[in-house]
Amino acid sequence: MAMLKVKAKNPSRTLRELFAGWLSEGRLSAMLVPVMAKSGAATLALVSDPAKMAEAAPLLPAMAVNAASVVHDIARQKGEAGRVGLLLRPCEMRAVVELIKLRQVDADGVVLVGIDCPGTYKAAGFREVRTKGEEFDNEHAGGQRDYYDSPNLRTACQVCDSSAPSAFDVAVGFLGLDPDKELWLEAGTDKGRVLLEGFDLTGEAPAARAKYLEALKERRLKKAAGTIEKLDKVMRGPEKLVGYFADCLNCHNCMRVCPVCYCHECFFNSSTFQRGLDEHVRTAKRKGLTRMPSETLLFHLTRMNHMMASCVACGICEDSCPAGVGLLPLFKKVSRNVQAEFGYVSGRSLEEPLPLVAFREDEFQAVGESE
Amino acid sequence: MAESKLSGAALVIGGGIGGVQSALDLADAGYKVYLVERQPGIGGVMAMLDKTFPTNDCSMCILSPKLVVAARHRNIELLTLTEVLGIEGEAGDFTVRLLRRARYVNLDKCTGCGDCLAKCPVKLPNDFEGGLSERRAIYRLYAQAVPNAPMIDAKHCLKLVRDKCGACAKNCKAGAIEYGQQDEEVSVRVGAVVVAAGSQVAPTALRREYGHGRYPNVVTSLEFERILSASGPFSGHVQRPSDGRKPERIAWLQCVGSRDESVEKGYCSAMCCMYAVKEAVIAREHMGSVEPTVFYMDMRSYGKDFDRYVERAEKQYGVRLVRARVPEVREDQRTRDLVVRYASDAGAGAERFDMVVLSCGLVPPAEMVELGRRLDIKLDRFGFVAGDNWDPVASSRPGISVAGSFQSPMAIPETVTGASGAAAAVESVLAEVRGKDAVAEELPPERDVRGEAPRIGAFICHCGVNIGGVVDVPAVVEHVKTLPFVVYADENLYSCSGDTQERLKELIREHRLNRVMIASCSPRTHEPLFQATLAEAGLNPHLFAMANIRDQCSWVHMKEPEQATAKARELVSAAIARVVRQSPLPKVKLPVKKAALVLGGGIAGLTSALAIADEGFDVCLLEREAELGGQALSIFTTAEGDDVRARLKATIERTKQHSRIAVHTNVALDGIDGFVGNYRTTFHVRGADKPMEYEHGVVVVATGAEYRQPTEYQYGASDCVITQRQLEEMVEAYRRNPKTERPGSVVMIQCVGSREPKRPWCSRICCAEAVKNAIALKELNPETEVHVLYRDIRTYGLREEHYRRARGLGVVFIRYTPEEKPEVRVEDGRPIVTVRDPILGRRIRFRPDILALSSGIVPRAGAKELAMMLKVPLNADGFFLEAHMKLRPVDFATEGVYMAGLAHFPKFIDEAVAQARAAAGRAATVLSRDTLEAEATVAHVDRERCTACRMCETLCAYRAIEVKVVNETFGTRSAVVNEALCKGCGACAANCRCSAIDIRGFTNENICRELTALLD
Repeated sequence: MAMLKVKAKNPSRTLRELFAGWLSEGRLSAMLVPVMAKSGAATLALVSDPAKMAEAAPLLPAMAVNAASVVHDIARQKGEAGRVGLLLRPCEMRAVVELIKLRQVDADGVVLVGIDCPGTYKAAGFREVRTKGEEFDNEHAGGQRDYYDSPNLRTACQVCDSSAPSAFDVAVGFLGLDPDKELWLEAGTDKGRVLLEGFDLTGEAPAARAKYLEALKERRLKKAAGTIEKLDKVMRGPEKLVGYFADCLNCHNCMRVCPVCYCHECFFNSSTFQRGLDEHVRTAKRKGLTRMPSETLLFHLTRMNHMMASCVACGICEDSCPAGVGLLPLFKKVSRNVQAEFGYVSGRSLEEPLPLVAFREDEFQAVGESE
Repeated sequence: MAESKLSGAALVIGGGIGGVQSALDLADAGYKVYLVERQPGIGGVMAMLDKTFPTNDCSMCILSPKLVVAARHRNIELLTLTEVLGIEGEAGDFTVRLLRRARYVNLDKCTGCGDCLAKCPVKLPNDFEGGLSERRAIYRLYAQAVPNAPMIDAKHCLKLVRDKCGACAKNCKAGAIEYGQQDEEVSVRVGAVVVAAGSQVAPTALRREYGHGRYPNVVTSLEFERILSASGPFSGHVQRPSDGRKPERIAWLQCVGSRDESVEKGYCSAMCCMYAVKEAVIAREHMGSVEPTVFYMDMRSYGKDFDRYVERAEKQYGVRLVRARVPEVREDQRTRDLVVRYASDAGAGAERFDMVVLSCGLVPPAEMVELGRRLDIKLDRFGFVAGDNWDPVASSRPGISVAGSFQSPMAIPETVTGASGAAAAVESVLAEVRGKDAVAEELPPERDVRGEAPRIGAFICHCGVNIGGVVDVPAVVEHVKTLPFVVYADENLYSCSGDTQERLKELIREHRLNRVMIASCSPRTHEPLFQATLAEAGLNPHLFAMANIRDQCSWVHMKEPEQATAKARELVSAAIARVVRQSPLPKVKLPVKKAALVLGGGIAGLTSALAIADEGFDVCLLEREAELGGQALSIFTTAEGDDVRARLKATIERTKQHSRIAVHTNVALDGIDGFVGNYRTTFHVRGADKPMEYEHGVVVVATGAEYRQPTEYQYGASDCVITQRQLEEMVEAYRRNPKTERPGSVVMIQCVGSREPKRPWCSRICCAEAVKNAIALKELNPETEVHVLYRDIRTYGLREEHYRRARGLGVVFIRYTPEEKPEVRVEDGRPIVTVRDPILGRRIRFRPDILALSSGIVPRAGAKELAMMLKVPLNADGFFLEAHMKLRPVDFATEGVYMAGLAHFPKFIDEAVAQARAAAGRAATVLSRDTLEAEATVAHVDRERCTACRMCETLCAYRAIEVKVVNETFGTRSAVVNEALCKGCGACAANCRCSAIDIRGFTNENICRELTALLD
């Protein structure tokens, strides 16, 4: 562990210089980082020229796509040119870890650089919030409490309880510290130590950060409990479930943006679900009416069934829903319960086997006559 | 070549799990088999059990498929209600006289519908249920009995006894009841015989003081199995026979009719400790309020994972284990509770229980002794066959082999092992006539239906009144006529009867049907039959679907006929939706290399190699050491007195000289590639640089295990502290040279390093080894003091005789607990042993001349690499893991790979030999074929959809699916199925989120269509 001195009270620039160094010294062939597009949208760029690292916004508190989706698209196989660095928020990193375990990302080809994230803003209207440009990012990182509990944060972020990177090669921390002065660096693996060569990594982890994270987690958990409680009130019985998804347009956006939904082609886009008119009429005849588009509930339940063990609760599905279906609370609740059943936490570690491929004899033994 | 005079058929006596296994192995290896069973149905004792240890599998669920396959096998002729009268001739050419008793039900006509059963007015206690429920005079042995036809109890049938009633005949629409049937005597000609006649549960009269038969709440262990069983007298609800109350305190009393020389049952029945603990666990699983207590003498959990099971029973299920003797059980006449008096180390006690279960041992019944006489084979004083250690499946008469608990007391895995071993023994007698009497399948050429629009024939079955009595069958027929592509629809009284099957074939031709849907009973029992009929009519058998409108419709909705009819309509719609899209599935045929690779040249490897070679196949035997013989090289005698060295030498010589066996020693394996029928192994002899290659169809893993070097009890600190193995060497030296100085006193410590947290298994052989050496020492010099410090003496089965003998000779056995182990220190080069004597209640001290440590058996260090090379699993302890603990004790889940000997688990020579022969029996089921037919319903991967996430790879128990590079140019990877290994279980398909995997015949699309038809 080492502390990185921040130059000119500008942590954002300090990090850019660190990353540019990795590129110019050839430790990385390129690096995926957040940038602000000219349009003002938060997006990502794969930077190979150290000079172009100037466009990166490492502390940008906005997430329009989960970077893991991009990583899935580009890093399925190891490249020839050398390793690519990935600057990832905790939820993005967890998704990448899941994708590595699902063999959709070649771990050898990438270096996972995780960074603290106290929450991101809704992409729509972010430009209006970020009037001060980069100064806003630095300020946000500075840990003003009203930033982190702001109702302007994405719903998922408001109830997120894991604000620090988990299974990283390199971690960059600022929560609980004074990012105007110093940032915290840690190497989690040999791959990470290569990037941090030159730093004295023998230092202790700062207690202030741990304490801060603990308090933040507590606040967020409380809020999450409230959200789920609200959900439980409306979600009682199958009819309510149908109602919950009633607005769904069957656009499948949630599936397309989901970082851990990794099929080449969704089963729900296959011929199995192309039914002839006669079949639809037969269905309609049973009740006199059949809702169109059909199979929306089946789609969501199947997706839920497939993804719950790996869901990282990033909430990008909810952000992308044009009909405003409140996907996050439901997915958060179900994924949390499912993972708890298996003693698994998605993205926590690369070593933990996926629940579906791990056999445990003592799993789900509640059988027999109930008294 | 002149036609051999030998018969190509075999007779298997006994339709329990042992006989069924022998019959299946022989029939699969190209022999005609007569399977003879005294009862009206096969299944034996295993059919009566609820669950099996140590996996808690449902007994009937794992047994029933085997019974169905045996009954349908074209080379197995099932002769139920049949007994052997006599046998003449010799190995290769026997004539067996059989008595076939009348069933009074025509098996060809009976469809098993069961309409006759309820109409019979006679009620009798049901013996199968221990008399806890009733049956009629016409009855089925048990609900899933194979064959499923009932029989008439001639002694109680009103028609047969008094010529009255006749209700069953009146109610049988199939006309299958034949009161005029007579017993008849028939003869069959066979080349060899397997006797797997089983044994009986010890009669409780052996322990009258326990009150079975007088006290209703005292039941036998087998009766308790029925009480636990969902198909049993109380539908699986644990209750007291006296008042139906749920029992809380239940006691198991061990060794009823076992280890009891006073009733001439001196042997240990080998399985009761485990089944009692299992029953206690299952009772507890049924009801958390049950408090089980087991009163036992020694806990004999000597098998693979058994100690773990017992530990879990104690810690997780709260099963109380009390080491005590129980002289008596008394009943409180008012409450019908039972008071168990017992004597333990802590003194005498008495406790009150709601129920008492007697753990009855196994005894060979009088009929078996008579059978032994009729077969002219020798039995021991108890009535067991008890063969030779080096040929445990042989009887005294050549050509007659034995398996199962008629041989000696044994549990299911040993029975199944012996059964496959007995099959191998038959095949060595009849190697030259393999295939001579077996019937090959002949079918008309298959009609090509590709490009045709679906033309479905739909048949709705009445199943007598089973379905027709509830469901409005004509209405369902009208409904099915309205469904798309149905060109013919009709109702059948019995879809499965012979004449209906003939008619079905005609209709297929007449109406050019290219799909068939039958709505009737369970596909489990009837789908293969209907599919065979399709094949006989020239249609691919997969152009078929079944709807079960009986078990899941008319039976469960008996009181709501209208809703049942509505449900039947829906089930039929679903089946039609499915069959519309079924496509013909090709059968994949793969050639077989008719040769075996045997790894390991110890007793197991040598025996396997010889047995396979004697069956008529080539064998390559590889041994890593310079010398053949394995662990047996350091054994001199068995407890039974065999000269191990001489017999081992003879076995090695015969192996080396066998024309079909190539032996290589000093071998290092380089790789094993391929799959069942088509393996290629590369290896080299150390020192020689030329690599060698061998192509083979199967592999036998007989790589053994190792004796553990002790680190405990001052081993190494004194020459007087030695291993049990070294003691045997010393005993041998005394024997050869009577003048050598002998020890005046010997102390032995058992379980050294075994049954410890680090090595939780029992090494199984150490107790008998210690007893063997103790007896030898006493015989050489009765003055020698021998003390054995033990935890449980596990001389199971007939080995109990040696234990008793040792005590008779004055060997002293002192029990210690793992909490209070013996202490050893060395003074002046001599060990001093202190241990607490539980009977005296104080510590005692020995200064023996020799301290011998039984330090157990550990897996071989190289097992892991070999397991990786073969892609087969090891258990948590490092022993090779069989496909199924009970029913596939010799097979790996990977087809074509078998195991034998210590590589599987510690075992005695006779057990290793039996397993080695069994491996040969199993191997022959592959090697006897020219081609292997892969299942048609296998997994299929859509490479476009596959994301190569490799989950399927991890989940496949058969190692049949693997992610590979399928496009070298782009490096594209995809899962690829090895159709020879795939069993079509569907684990991969169910787990594949991308729906890239389909099971042929059960595609995702088809299942979705079926569900849509059902739900919409």
